[in-house]
This record gives sequence, structure tokens and C-alpha cells, in this order.
Amino acid sequence: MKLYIELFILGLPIAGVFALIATGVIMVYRASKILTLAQGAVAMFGAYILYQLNNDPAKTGGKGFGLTIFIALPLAVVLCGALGYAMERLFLRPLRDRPVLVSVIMTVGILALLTAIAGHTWGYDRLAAPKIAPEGQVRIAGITLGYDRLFILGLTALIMLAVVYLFKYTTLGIAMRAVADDRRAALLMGIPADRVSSLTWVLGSILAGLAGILLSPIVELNPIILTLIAIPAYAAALFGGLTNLARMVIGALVVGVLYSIVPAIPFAKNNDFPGERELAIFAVVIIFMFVTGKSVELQEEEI
Amino acid sequence: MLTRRPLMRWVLILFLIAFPFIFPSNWADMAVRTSILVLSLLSVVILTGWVGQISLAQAALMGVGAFTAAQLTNHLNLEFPLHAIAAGGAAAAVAIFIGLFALRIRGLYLAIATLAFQWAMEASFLEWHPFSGGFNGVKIDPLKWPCCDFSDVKLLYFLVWPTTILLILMVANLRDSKTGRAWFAIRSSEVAAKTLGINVTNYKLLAFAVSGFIIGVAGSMNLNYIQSATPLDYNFQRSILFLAIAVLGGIGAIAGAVVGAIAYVFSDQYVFTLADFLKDKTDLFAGGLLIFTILQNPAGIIGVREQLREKAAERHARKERRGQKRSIVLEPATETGAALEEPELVGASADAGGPPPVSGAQQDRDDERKAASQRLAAYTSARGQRMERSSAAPMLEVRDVTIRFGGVVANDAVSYEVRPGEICGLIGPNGAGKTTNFNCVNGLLVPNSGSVRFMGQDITDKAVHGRAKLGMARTFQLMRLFPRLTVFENLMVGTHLQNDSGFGSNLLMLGRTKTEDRRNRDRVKEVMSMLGISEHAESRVAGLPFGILRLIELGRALVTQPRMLLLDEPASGLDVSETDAFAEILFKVRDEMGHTIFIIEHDMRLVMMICDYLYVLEFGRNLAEGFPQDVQSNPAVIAAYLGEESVA
Repeated sequence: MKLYIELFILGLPIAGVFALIATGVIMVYRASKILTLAQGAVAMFGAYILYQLNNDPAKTGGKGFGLTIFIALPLAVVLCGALGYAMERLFLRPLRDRPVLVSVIMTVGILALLTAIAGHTWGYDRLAAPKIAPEGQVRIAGITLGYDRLFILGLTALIMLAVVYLFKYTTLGIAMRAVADDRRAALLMGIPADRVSSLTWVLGSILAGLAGILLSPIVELNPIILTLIAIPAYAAALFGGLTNLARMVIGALVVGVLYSIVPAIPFAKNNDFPGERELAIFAVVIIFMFVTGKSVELQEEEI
Repeated sequence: MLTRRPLMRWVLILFLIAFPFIFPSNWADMAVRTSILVLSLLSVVILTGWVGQISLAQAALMGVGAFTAAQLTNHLNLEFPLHAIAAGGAAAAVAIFIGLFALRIRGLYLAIATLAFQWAMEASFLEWHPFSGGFNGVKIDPLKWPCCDFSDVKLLYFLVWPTTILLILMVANLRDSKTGRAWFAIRSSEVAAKTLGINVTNYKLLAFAVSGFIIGVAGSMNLNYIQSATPLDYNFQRSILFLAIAVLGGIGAIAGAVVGAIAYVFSDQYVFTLADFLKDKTDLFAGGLLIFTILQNPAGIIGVREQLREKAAERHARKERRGQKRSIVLEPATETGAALEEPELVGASADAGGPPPVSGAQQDRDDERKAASQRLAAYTSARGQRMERSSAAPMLEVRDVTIRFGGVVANDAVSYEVRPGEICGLIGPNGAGKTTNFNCVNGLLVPNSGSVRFMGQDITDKAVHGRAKLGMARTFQLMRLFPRLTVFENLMVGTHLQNDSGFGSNLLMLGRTKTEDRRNRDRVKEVMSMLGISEHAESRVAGLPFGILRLIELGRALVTQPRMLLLDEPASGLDVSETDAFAEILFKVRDEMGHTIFIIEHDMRLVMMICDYLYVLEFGRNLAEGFPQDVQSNPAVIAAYLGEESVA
């Protein structure tokens, strides 16, 4: 039992990271009705950007500029934002008057491009991801927890609070919601809708990049694996109907904890059940769809 | 499908037969790879290009096919043609499983579901040893028949290409039959498809099954080609690659799959080996080209020719147009089509006083208009003397229908009936709940309480397409045409219910399907000429004037041969003369074709002109009913709706 409690708690920071990725997905969806499938690739890219900035070839080999983490991290975040801006500006804005399906396929193209670039630049071998969290561990009530996990949990909680504050209480947040509801009306109210939707891409990419940076030491630094790790985050976004942050956080908790616990469940551990973790998440995606499917259908094609 | 000219067809067949003998053996090898890729892309074309469902799990499905075939070969000694069918069947079953979720959800969610599925299957393949052999995969012995040893690619070529061509031909048959039309309809508007009697659920699942079967067969062919199947062959990157090449080739057409596959295999073999810096960079280029294609030319490579032709045609048309003041501008659109494109359905606005939809010289038009208004007046005055409703049993009976949206009561115990042979109207101020009620009659909404009876049956809970089958057709206030199809094709979708031929007959284009097809074409032509839209038959719907669009939607409803037509504000957006022409057509529809008409309309002039009987709603409740002249003078109606002064 203790094992499960421990795994449950270990799952919370993972849930937090999923929530960061999903928040970006939701932001973009709300502002432009596009489901971006590139979010995982942006997370992966963010992790590699930090690696590139921080890694010191003299010490650990590989590529890199060897900047200290205190410079590398903010710079990586800025670069992720720039990446988001570029994606929106160059690839998605020209598609605005085209069907949503086209934009979604475009995000698949971006995903393909980013993973290919990362693969060719840094290779497909596992790399040692830079650690941004303090090392060491703490024992609370008989459960051992790494500082890194606590750090991630705290950081994601802070970021989520900031996002909620931004959405609910700032002019910018209100503008974002207005653009999401009715772009044309928002424009008539003098809201620079273009700038608002670009901003959602910037913020979404920053969140994804941070998530990738936080996840890569836990999972591994590999272009494909890190990209696909966003799938549970999509499940969470789905649970929030691609719009609702609070429900998304609940969804993120479910998938995060599952992600952590499933491999330890006995029948899965004996390897009788192949791909248990992924299959469990897939099952969750399906269940979430049945929970939220109907409401979204009506949104998309009004009768 | 391959080509329409018989001579070219024979040349092509001879070329394909001679191919492995003329060219070096590495070309035969490339040809085999191409054929496998063609089938893979074809599955994407069907699902994404034709039905509008994004699937990122095609590689996983291909893997299911390959591993199934491998296990059958090794354990049951089942070889190529047989294990290919089994592989297709297995992949189709899995695809239907995914498709089941697509029923609940729409395109966007499906992308997530298929992504998660691909991810899960990849992990399963790696660990599920009995099925996939784990990381190293499964190996099989090269296929050997008493006559020939297929480890020689030149012989394998004669196995895979005929299979590919057979499947292509069958898919082309499906595309040209009611199945294909149903798919195209679903892609544009599921709601419209339902109202035409298309069982959206079944047709979506069918698309998943067909697409799954094809990629499963491709998987088995790939197995025979490389004599092994490993999880890495069917990973996520492969799924993305399929989508990318399909878009690059042209995702709306079979030719796109063929061209995309040839281009990919050729450049993989020759272009990417040209220089060191290009080596192994196909993934990079696939991603980049996918983005480039979407931005520059969504119809893909096969669209280039069409684009050029259109540009030439446009130049030509511009020259001809000089001197003519007005003209109908057809939006350029391609047959092979920017399949992903859904042009917006905004008709070129017909300003007041513009020509009526039926064209002709100005003088003729004026005469025609005068005659029309005289005829209309005759109809209306004939109706004016009729002061009682037919005593026949009601065709449509709505009893105490209540519909709530959250706290808002859109319909509050609304009741009315429509008798056969009538033109019955439902009117009321904006927000009275007319369209909501219509959606309920039509099945798009299920009422919270109350009942709807049609032709003596309780249909309150019946599916939309089931109601269409009973003889109910409708048009929409905001039209739901299929913008990428031509006018003729739009009407052809309406013939869906007039087909009895099954899937098998469609697949093989049997005589039955052909006869039905001919009959339907004639019927569509008849309706088009009755409506006076024959001249637009081959035009794409997007960009036609509003008045024509209204007629097309009416025509599409008419070809379903309905007992009752539900028209939702058919005159909105029409000018006076167009409205008159429309009214006359409605009389024809009722008197000559015998359809009962139930109409929601805001244009009081039209309502008073054509309706035999009226129901008035206000704030979701029945306010009044009666013959037009009575309703017109009913003080409650005047107060609620017509304002202080009565309508002229």
C-alpha cells in the first residue's frame, strides 16, 4: 500500500507538468479554435534548447554553449516563446480563413518538422538532460520524496495560479476570452485580435517548453519519446472539453497519477500486459471522450 | 479510373506488364515499394480526404496487418493472398474500433484518440512478444509457390501491383457510387447528410473499415517484401509520413496517392542520395514539404495541373467578360480538389432589381416576370376562396412539444398539425422558437416532452436519417450545401435513399448499381430543369448567387422524393422577383409533384401569398392559428408580430 501512496504522490508533479502542456493547448484552442498537435514537439524542443544552451561540451561531451543554468533557463523560455510566435505568424495565420482541419494538419507538419530537426541536430540517442531542480531528498511521514519532484510540483502550481489569474482578472485575459467567443465582435470592440491570438501561441509554447524542461530529467531526452509524452496532456485537455481549465486540472491529476501507478500494478509488472501505461492512457482518452464528447459536438456544428 | 481513353488504358497496362523487364531490377524493387505506399496513402485519402477524419494511427493499423499476416504465415501456413485478406480484416476490425469513438466525437478529438492509439500500439508491439515478437519483430520465409519464388522482386512485382490496382479500381467504384457521395456529404456537413437519409454512423464506420482493410493489406504486402515485421517499421513517424506524403500528392484524389507514392519512392532512391548533406533527411523534407504544400497549394502535386488550367481558363473568361456588365463569377475550384478546403458558402449577393435566377434577354425576362406575377395572383386568389382545411388525417402532428436549453424554454407545449397536400406556414417574431421546433420535427433535437407523429407513426425519438426515409426532407435557413461538389453532385447526394444496391454491388459496380445510377441521374436532371438551374449543373456550388443556392437546396430536398418538405426561411436573402419565382416553384412542387409543404418564413408577403393555413408562435408558445386572411387580421398577432399597422 505504501508503494501506491508513494507512487500517487510521485504522480502529482507529473500531473502538474501535463497540466502545463494542456493549458497551452487550451489557450490556443480558445483563441483560435485550433487543436495544436505540435504542443508535445514544442515541449521536446524546449528541453533541447535548454540542453543546447546549458550543456558544456568540455565536461560532458555532445553539443552546447555551456551557459550557466541561471542564464540558460530564462533564455530557453524566451526562445520557446519566439518559437511559438514564429509558428503562429508563419504557418498558422495564413490559414485563418481556411477550415480548421487544415490548420490541424499544419500543426502535424510542424510536429514532423520539429522532431526531424531535433533528431538531426541532437540525434536520437538518449542525452543527459540538464537538471534545474535542487538535488537531494526529504522524508515526510515515511515517504521519500526528491526535491526535484517537490520543486516541479511547486513551480507548476505557481504557474497554474498565474494562468488562472491572467485569464480571470487581467484585461489581457478578458481580451483572450472575447476573441475566443467571437473574433469579429472582439475586433469591433477594438481588441487587436491578431495580437491576442499570437500571444496565446507565445504563452502556450512557453508553458510547453517549461513542461519539456521539467519532464526531460524524469523521462528522457529523446526527440520522439518526449514529443509523445504530451499525449496524456491531450487527454487532460480533452477532459476539460479543450476549454475548461478546472476540469482539465482534474483530468491531468487522473492521467498523471495513472502514469505513475500503472506500471507498478502486479499484472502489469509481470509483463503479461504489454504497453500497460500507454494502453491505460489510451483507455482514459476514450473514457474522457465519452464524458465530454457530446457537448463539443454541439459547439462545432450548430443546428 | 486509370484513364478514360481506352487506348491509353491498354498502353498503360502493357507498360505495367513490361516494366520489370525493361528497367533494371532496382526499379522493380522501387515499384514494389511504391505499390505498398500507394495503398497506405489511399487509406489516408479515403479517411482524411474524403470523409474528413484525421487519423494518426495508420501506421499502427498497418502494423496490425503485418503482424497478423506474419503470425498466420508462421503458425497456420497461410500465405499471400489469404493472409493479406486476413490482415486487411484484422486492421479493418481495429479501425472500426477506433471509428466507434469517432461517432461520439468530431474530427479534432479523433486526432487525439488516434494519436493515443498509435502510441499505445507502438508500446504494445514492443512488448507483446507472442504477437509482434518484441523489438526484433517476426520473420517469415520468402513466399514460394510451386511455380515461382517471390524472393525475386521482379516476380513479387506481379503479385503486389495487380493487388494494388484491383483495390484502386474498387475504391474508385465506391467513390462514384452512393457510398462515395455519402462520404463527401459527411465531410462537408453531417447534419445535411443526415437530413438526406444518410446513416452517418454506418458510413463513417464503413470508411474506417475500408481504410483499415486497405492499409492492412499494405501491411501484409510489406511483410512479404521485407520478409519481416518489426515494431519500428510501424511507428509514429511512419503515420505522420503517410499523412505528409498524402497531402503532398493531393489528399483529395486517388491520383494523389499514386503520384505522392511515386514521388516519395523516387526521391528517396535518387534525390536524397545525391549529396551527403541530404542523406537520411527524408523526414526533414517530408515535414517541410507538408507545411509548404498546405500553405502554397493544398491540392498537392496533382492540383498543380488543375491550377494552371484554371489560371488559363480565368484569363480566357476575363477576356470574354469584357463588355459584359454583370456576370456570375464562379469561384475557382478543382475537381481533384483542395480536398481539405471547404469554401465558404456565401453566394454572390443578388442585389435588388438584379436579374432573376432564370437567365434570358431583358425583354423576355420582363414579360416572364409579368406573366409570373399574374399566375401567382391567380393561385393566391384561388386559395382565397378556400376557407376550410382538408379533412384528411394530419400528416404531421406535433403535440405539446417542450424544449428547454438550460433555463431557457424555447418551446413551451407547442402543438399543431399539417394536413396532406397543404402549404402550411409557421410564423412568429424572431426568437419565437420556430427553427428550434423545426429541428425537433426533423430529429436534430429531441424534445424534453411532447410528441411528434408523422404519417401516423410516433417519430419523437427517431433518428434524423430514419425520418428522411419516412419521407421528410428539409432545407436550412443558413444553407447547408456541399460547397466542394457541383450542383449536379449536390442533387445526386439527395438520391441516396433511392438506391437499393448494397456495398458489394457498389464495390464492383454491378449492373444494378449502374441502372440505379442512370435512373438517379435522369431524376436529378428532371428536377434541375424544373427549377431552371440546369445551366449551372457542372458549376461548383461555392460562389453561385444566393437565389440559385436556395433553389439547389430545394432541389436536393426534392430528389429525395419526400412526402413533406420542411422549408426554413427559404426566402431570406432573396429579392422580390426571386421570391416570386420561388413562390411559383413551391406551387408547382405542391400541385404537380404532390409534396406537402411546411414552411417557416419571415417574408409576410410570401407567407400570405402561398400558405393555406398558418400557425403563429410567440415566446415559444402557440399564439394563434387560422387561414392567412384571418391571422392577418387577428389583433393578438398584429400586436405581437406585425406591429401596429397591418401588412399590405
